[in-house]
This record gives sequence, structure tokens and C-alpha cells, in this order.
Amino acid sequence: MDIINKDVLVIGGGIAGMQAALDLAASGCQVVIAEKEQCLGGHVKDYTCLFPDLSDGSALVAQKIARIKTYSNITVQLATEVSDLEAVSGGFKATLTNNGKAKTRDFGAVIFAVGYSNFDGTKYGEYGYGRYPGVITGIEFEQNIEKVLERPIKSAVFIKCVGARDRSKGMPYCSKVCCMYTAKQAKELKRAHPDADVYVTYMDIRANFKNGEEFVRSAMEEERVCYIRGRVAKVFPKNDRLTVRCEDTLMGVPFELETDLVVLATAMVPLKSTNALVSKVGGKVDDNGFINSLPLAESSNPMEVAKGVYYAGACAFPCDVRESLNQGSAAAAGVISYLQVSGRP
Amino acid sequence: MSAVKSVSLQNEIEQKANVNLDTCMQCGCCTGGCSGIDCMDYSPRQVIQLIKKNQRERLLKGKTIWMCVACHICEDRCPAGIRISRLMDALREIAIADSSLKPNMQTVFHKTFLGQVKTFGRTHEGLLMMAYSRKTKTPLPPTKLIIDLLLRMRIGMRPPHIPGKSYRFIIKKVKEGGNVHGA
Repeated sequence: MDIINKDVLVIGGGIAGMQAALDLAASGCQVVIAEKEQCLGGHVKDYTCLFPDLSDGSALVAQKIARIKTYSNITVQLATEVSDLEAVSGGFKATLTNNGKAKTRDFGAVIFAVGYSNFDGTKYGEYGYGRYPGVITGIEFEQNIEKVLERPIKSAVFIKCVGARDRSKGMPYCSKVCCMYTAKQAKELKRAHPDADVYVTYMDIRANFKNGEEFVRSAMEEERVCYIRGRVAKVFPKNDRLTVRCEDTLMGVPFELETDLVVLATAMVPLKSTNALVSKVGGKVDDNGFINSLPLAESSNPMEVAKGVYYAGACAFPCDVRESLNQGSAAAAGVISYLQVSGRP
Repeated sequence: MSAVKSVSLQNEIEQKANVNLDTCMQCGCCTGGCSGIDCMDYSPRQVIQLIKKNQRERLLKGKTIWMCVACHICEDRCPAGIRISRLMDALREIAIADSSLKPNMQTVFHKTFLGQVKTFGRTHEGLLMMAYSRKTKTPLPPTKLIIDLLLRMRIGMRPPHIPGKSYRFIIKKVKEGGNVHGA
């Protein structure tokens, strides 16, 4: 098996990008990871507890970084953005900018693993995010978990689908993972405050993962998290606490709930910069801004975006850690077969 | 409950209010924000479901559509973008037009108010008050309040304004078959 002696550019050093890089390097490719932050790991390095097995995301990231260090054929460029990208005959020209210094290099294939951004909670003014200190987002819960669990709360309310399934705000898609991470966070809160009333307000419960349904059911049945079907209309301060106003749609009863902490399960949103960059090499994004793969019947690898261009991870649609890793490996497989000297697809 | 969708209240409302009720996720956000919910028998969410189940009688005879204050909070917050205020308007229009329904305080007020607008081009608060009181057989406000309203010029003693030819022409055209959405 001969691999064309060209480098592979992996844009993004989160878990999808790191997994792709590891699989590529193990097969003998030269890989460059361009990561815009000061360190590898993306979002997952901040997640100490992943659903549903409650494993440690930061430990997973540390393991990937340690493995990357063992490969001399992986070059990690931190604080580096891909400021330009061009398809040329035989591959791609990418301009990597670090600290204002730009350098253009040749690559044989590109993997987009740029990940996602977090929905801005202030877009729902009625929830009071940014105004009331008792209202936080799901991401903030993860990133400050110790401080959050230390808060002396008697009650907490999780609001799901914040920034998702809302076509009136231009975000019709389902962000897939929020039902699971909310169940996980509710469990964590209940474990830290067994006497507190923890509520999850939902429109639906989507637990489409291995052990997912069982996980959510155990939050309800064992941890006794109270799930109420109804989308919260507003959050406002009252009696030095917060009050949440919604309808229990299963009972057909409108009601108000006094609480200390409101957690908005915010959606994963695509990065605005993705469209511009992927368009330069023949890629497209969908109406929501997520990268589109080629139609399945037109590509030899499901991660293919355009000739020599692949994607992995949440830049194409919200997904969990396991799925990001799966896609990283799949993208690597796509690149490897693409770079085969003989039998090029 | 009828599940037949072909000739239905849902079609009627969807055309009148220009909405698609099948986008409703029954999330209850409308109800959660509703200003008039404490006086209603059905919540706005239930109203949508009742329309889809063809429950015309329940809706037109119920309190909900008359307790709606048209604050638009429901419409503003609905994640499906359903124009719930328009839907409530449509239900009220159907109720007003349905002569088989018993009149209530709100339908009498509606008809009295609009009757005056059609005749005078505007309402005359004093005449409106007296006509409403007579038709609903409810007493006028206490004399002290009426004097206070007169002194503060909230109701006037002057006779009602009589509109000109162009206004009467407009009203005639509207009666012939225009509708309030301008088509």
C-alpha cells in the first residue's frame, strides 16, 4: 500500500480532529493539526462527566493528546487559524496564520473538524439569562461544575430546547445531545443536593443513544428528577428567588414554580466561519450552517464533502463524544483511501 | 371526536388566520405566557388541539376566546411561529357570525361597538355605554362616576359625529364582501 507523499491538514484539534489525526498517523500519513485555541481538546476537555457512562471527558482528551505526542508524523500547530484555503491541481494550498504570521503550505487532503459554538442564551430575553445570576446555560454548568454543585439550592429547573426546534428564531433543528446532557446534569445536581427539587421541563425526550433511554429513565425513577412536559414561557425574580412560568401539558394545568437555579439546555450551533472556508474548496453548508456531505450515492466515503475534503464531528451536525470519535476515524479512512496511489476513487 | 380532516374547523381557521396548525408541537409555551389564562376554560394550547379535533361547539361556547386580551405573548413565544392571536381573532369572528349561538357580554359589546363605528365613523362613549347597558340589561355606572367621567371629559355630551359620503361609500363596499385582511 503506497500513500501519496502529501500532508493531510486537519482543521480543528478537538476530539474528532485528534481521532482523525491519530488514525491517519498510524497508517503512515503526515498530518498537520491546525487548532485555533492555545491547546488541543476543543469542548470535550471541559466535560468531566460524559453521558451515559459518566466517564471523564478531560481524561479522554488527555489520553488522545498523549498518544498524539508519540507520533512524530503529527505536527500540532496551536493558536493557528486557516486563513485561506484553495483547491489546486494535485491537492490544496492552505494558509496557516499564527500570531499574525501567515505561512502557505501544500496538502493532499483536508479534514474539517472545526466543531461548534454555544447558543447565546440572551436571545431568549424572557429567560433572563445575563440579567439574573440564577440563570446559567448547560455549557456553563459543565465548565464550572464544582462551583455550580456547591450552590445552596432548594430547587432547580432545567429548560430544554433553548435555541433548538424553534423555527420562529431561525433554528428549526434538534440539537440531539441536550436531552442526554440535561438528564446527566440533573442527576449530578440531585446527587449533590438530595433534598432539592430538581425539575426538567421538556417538549420531548430524545434519548437515542446506547443506554440512553435507560439513563434518562433512571434519572426519573432512581434519582427522582421530576420531568414536566411543557416549554417554559418565562423566568422572573420573585421573593428573592426565581419563578418559572409554564404549563404542565400532560395535566393541562398552567403553573408557576419557585426555584433557585435555572439551567438553559442550550443548543450546539455551527461556527459562522465554517461556510466561508468550506466554500473555498467546493463544500456547502445547509440552511442551518452545518457542513453538508456529498449525497451518499455520489461518494465513496460518507464523510466526503468534496474531492479530497472530508468532515468529522459537530461541524456537520450536533453529535456526542462517541459519534465525534466515530466520524474522526471514518474521515481518516476516507482520506487514506483517497490518497492511495492506485485505485483512487 | 371526529378525526375527519376534509371539511373541518381546522381548514376554516387555517384559511381565515393564515396559519398551519400542524406545526404545533403542543409545547404549552403559549399557555405559559398567556395573560388571560386564569379566566380561561381551555388554554391556548388546548384551543389549537380542539380546533384540530373539530370541537367547534366547545370553543365557540367556551370562555377562552373571550378572555383572550390579544396581548400577543403567545404568538411572540411560539417556537412553531403560529399566529395564535390571529387564530383567536378568527374564532371570535366565527362566533360573532354564528347566529345560532347565544349572545354573551362580549358579542353584544362587539356588535354594539362596531354598529356605532359603521354608523358614526367612530364610537360615542356615552351612547355606547347606554346602548350596552340596555342590551345586556346591566345597570349604568353609579351617578357619581358618570359625573366624574363627564367632568374629566372621558364621555361627552355632544351629539355623535355624522360621517361624510366617502365614509359611507367605504362601509358599503366592505359590506359587499371585503374582508379585514384587505383582499
